[in-house]
Amino acid sequence: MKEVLSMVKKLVSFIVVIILLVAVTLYSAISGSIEITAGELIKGLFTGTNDNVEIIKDLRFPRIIIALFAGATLSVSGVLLQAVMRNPLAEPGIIGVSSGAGFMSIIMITFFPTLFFYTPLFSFIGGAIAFLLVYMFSWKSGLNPLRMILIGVAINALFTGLSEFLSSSNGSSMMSGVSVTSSTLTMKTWNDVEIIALYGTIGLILSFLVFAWCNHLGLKDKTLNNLGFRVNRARFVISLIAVLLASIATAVAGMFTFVGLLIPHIGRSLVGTDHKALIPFSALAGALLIITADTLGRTIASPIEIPASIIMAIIGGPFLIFLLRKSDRIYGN
Amino acid sequence: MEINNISFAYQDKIKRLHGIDAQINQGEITTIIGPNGCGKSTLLGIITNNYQPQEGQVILDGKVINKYKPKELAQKLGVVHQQNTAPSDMTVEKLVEYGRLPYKNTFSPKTDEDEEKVEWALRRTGLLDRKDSKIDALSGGQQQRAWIAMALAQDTPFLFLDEPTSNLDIYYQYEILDLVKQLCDEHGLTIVMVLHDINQAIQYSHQIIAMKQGKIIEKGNPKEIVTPKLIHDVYGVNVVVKNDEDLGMYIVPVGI
Repeated sequence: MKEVLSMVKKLVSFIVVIILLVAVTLYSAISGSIEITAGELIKGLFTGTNDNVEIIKDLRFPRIIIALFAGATLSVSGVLLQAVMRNPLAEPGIIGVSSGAGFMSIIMITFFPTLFFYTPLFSFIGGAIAFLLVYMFSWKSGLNPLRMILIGVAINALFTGLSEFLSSSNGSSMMSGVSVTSSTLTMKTWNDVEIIALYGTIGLILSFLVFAWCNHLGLKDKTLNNLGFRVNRARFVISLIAVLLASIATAVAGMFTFVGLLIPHIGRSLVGTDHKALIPFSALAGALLIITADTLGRTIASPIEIPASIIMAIIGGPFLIFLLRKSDRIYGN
Repeated sequence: MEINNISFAYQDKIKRLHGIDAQINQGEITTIIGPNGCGKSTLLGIITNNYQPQEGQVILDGKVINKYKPKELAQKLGVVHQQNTAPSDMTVEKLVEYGRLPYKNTFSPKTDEDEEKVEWALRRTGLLDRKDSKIDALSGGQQQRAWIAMALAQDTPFLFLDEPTSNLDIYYQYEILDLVKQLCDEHGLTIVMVLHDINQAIQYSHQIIAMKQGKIIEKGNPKEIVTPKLIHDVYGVNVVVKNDEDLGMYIVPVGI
């Protein structure tokens, strides 16, 4: 009976998130400074005769797609990092992976602006360095959750500081797209979409392929070792995927905190700890969260735009406290 | 299984084991006893390939254990550790299915044999009717049995148990020990365990290995080796050794 109930809960959660995702995405496409109806939009897309639809296609669509991917990749990155570190607080923003990635992409844009297309690669290296540092420094304490977070905060501060130093010493005007501390999704083009869609899709597919490994990591290293499972190899691969996801999101969309923390947390209480459901659910719910934040940000006080990351922080902080109060379920028993 | 001249230190370089030599006989129950910090769990960690000794080697079926491929070794020896964690919403059956991991690749499906072994392990540990329960909902004794069931599903000739009775009520302690005995008697498993209770060790083991400060003080048949002197040497406690016609040998601690 309980079994059936949790299955129903899982199914309903998925359906609700998918419906909301479609609805918000559609709403996002038709609202803003140019307003049209959904019918006009769809008709315009097929015929190509509506000028407004063409503008929306050039300006609003890239932004929507990037928001969706950023949300999906960051949430899944959070899920993976939490599995690898066995720590519900591990999140690319908190432990410095995003700021490492952001720092490298700023270096890139500042010193080698012609290598624009390789930004994701540089971001990935930056994210990987930050992750490696956190991992190394917390290894000795047996990846103690609290210690790891503290080290992450320090690494995060370091990279954020370095990035801001670079930006301010270069004059702030040249930082058109990339900001280390916040994110705006304005001024995005189809080029950006190509990058995030390509690497993001690869990362998301890879992360789904390793769902069983993520589940295995719910057991202790010793136990896994005696089951003949190569724990460190799995950790390494999952971490790489997590860093790839977070870096690509940061490189294209900038910094978003909380999404990698909130979504997996909600996901676990709705669909359980099995990564077979948790990873796809987090991807969908993460996309929903960021697209909602971005749509709110640009419609709530129009024509002023509030960056999605700021909306996220304002929703995220209180919500996290609410969640932590409500349930203290974390890994392990 | 042969344990040859094992010496071991953790990263702090303090030597925890000094030249350990022992033999684990097939089809028997061997129990390691000794005071806290004597190195018994460390020794168990070495013979289950969780730690690598600086000197000496452990030989299983004519081959040094760290030369086995991980899965190959996991098909030979199953281990129940002292502290275990699993995601709180995992069901007992799912947990026990983990025992089949050594026989699988990442994407290979469940076979009939997997199902048989899992069912057998659940029945053997009396958890068949609790297989859909979440681990969190089980009592301490049931949880311990679930972990043993996982090791049983591994279908290995060797089973290692690190303090399987600690933190359990006396009823559950004997429930576990009786299960261990049955596994040895009826299924021919070779069992190595760490126990705190000397009387339980005497009652259930074919061989006792008594350790102190990283060395083996004495090993052999409990009836032959357990004497007031040995227990005093190992634990610093004075005991009287009694023999009862029905109960066999037991000890009574009388002071320090």
